[in-house]
Amino acid sequence: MPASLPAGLDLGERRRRRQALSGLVVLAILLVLPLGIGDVYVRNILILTLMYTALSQAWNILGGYCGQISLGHALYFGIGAYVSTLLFTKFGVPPMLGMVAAGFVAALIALVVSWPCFRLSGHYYAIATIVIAEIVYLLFLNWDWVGGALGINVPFRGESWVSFQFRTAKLPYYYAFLGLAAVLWLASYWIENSKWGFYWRAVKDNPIAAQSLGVRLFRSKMVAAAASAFFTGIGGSFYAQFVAYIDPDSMMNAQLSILICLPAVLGGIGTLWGPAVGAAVLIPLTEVTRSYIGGSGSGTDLILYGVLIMAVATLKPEGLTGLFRIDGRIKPAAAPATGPSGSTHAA
Amino acid sequence: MLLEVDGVSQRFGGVLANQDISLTIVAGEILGLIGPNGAGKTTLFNAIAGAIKPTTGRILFEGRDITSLGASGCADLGIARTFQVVRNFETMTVLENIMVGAFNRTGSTAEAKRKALEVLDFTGMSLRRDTPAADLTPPEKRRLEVARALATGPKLLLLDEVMTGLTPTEAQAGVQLVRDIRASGVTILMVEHVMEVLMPLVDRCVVLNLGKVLVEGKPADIVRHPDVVTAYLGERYRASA
Repeated sequence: MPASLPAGLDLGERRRRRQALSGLVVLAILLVLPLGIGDVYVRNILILTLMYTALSQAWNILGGYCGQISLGHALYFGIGAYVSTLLFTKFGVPPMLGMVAAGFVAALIALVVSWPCFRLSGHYYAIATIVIAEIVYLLFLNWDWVGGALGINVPFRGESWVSFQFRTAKLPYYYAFLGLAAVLWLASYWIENSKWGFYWRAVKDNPIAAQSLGVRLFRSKMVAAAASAFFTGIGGSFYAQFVAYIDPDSMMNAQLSILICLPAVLGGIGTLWGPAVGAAVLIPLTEVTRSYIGGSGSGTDLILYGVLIMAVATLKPEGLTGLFRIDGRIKPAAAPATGPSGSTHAA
Repeated sequence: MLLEVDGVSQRFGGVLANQDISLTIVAGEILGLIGPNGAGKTTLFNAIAGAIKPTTGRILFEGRDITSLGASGCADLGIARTFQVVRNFETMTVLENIMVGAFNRTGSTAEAKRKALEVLDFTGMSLRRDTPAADLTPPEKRRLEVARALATGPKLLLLDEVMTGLTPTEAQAGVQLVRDIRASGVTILMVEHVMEVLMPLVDRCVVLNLGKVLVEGKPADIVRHPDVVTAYLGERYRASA
């Protein structure tokens, strides 16, 4: 075997080109999409889809790249919603500033929560995140200063980007959530090719080997948790402005935690496009079943999640993105190189 | 003196895996660490790599106490290792695996990739650049571990049974790689179960038996040493020899 380098771009470079190109195409489509859709109901679904794309991408930083499965991300979402809303209602801080604070507070909480939790690994970590999110949910439910179970109405101060309030049209929210999703996509795109991205994937794949190469497991996980919570918190404050009313049940409940991680699981954990693809399938499906089947069929959307997850787990364990080859990530199992996952060899 | 192991003992519950072991590694040499099954080779190896903390004793690297530094701290100082049971990043390509190691010395992706490509070439794995680690053959997997370790820019490379399970041809290629690594200025400590592979390669050899240093010396003297023969082959063989 001659020890010469194969010519041309390596797998990673080719993957990044495909990703960048597909990112531009999708962004262009999403920029003009709502202009052709006047229906409020459909626009609302689009907004929610973008929001869950963003949230799931944020979750993916910790759960996907770093492999630390959190089932309590509603905590950071809720903290974000409460921080910006409380700053607005109690101290008059405009939500545009408040959401930055929301991100930082959520990141700080993530560090405090993760400090003990990262002593646990695997399933134990996941369970701990559920428990802590549930505790904070109960705290907020019984804490009068933050509105308790009654929640807080976000007062209307006129339409503007500074107060991030729009009553008449939902279109600004669409572009706000598109912006958030795009920022998270770019952040993920950057992460995948950065030292942190490599370290996180190494921590996920084989922590002991990672350590032997100088990777600090605890520090790496903490950074991933903080980054993930930061963006989730910002997502929470966006949503609070969007619905203009927050309470623990809508901002911190356990089902929300599941909804944050499901798009990534469905689309492809630890992939760039996984959360977006997953959300594009899951959220419209959920909303449509919820509104058409409605009252007597409540819970149908939950059955749907279950079916989808089972289908993906059996048919496409690496997620829906495995169908498209955009990410070209390699399957975790020792699969043949020419398998359907799209893992490619240099010619 | 690059590394000094000073009276290291390691106790796992009722088992004394290492008992008051002292040895030194001189910069530039290849030191072999051999011994029968259960002699405590891997335990000592793990202690030097920082993966476990000895119960008593000290380990000095370039005069600095690294006994409780931990695996990643040791990697930063320039101690790299491979694993007896291969531990690669299975979902990452060969190049990406090596880049993880290269990131130990740089924060720049371009620089890490440059270093990784250099190591890829040095270890003769260039044709496998884009192959997922999971799809490599067993000897290639071992080679990738060595490449990844080299990418951290080590002063001391710890090889844990890298020749195990290789065919004679593959082992020959492995021996050549180890020689090349040493020629590039890296000191090597090799743990090996198979004496035939190790003897022609090492400058010096430490034999462990039942957790203690049995003998230490040049390979030619070691193979004839009566205690070594006894430890490996038993009393009967010694009597008839």
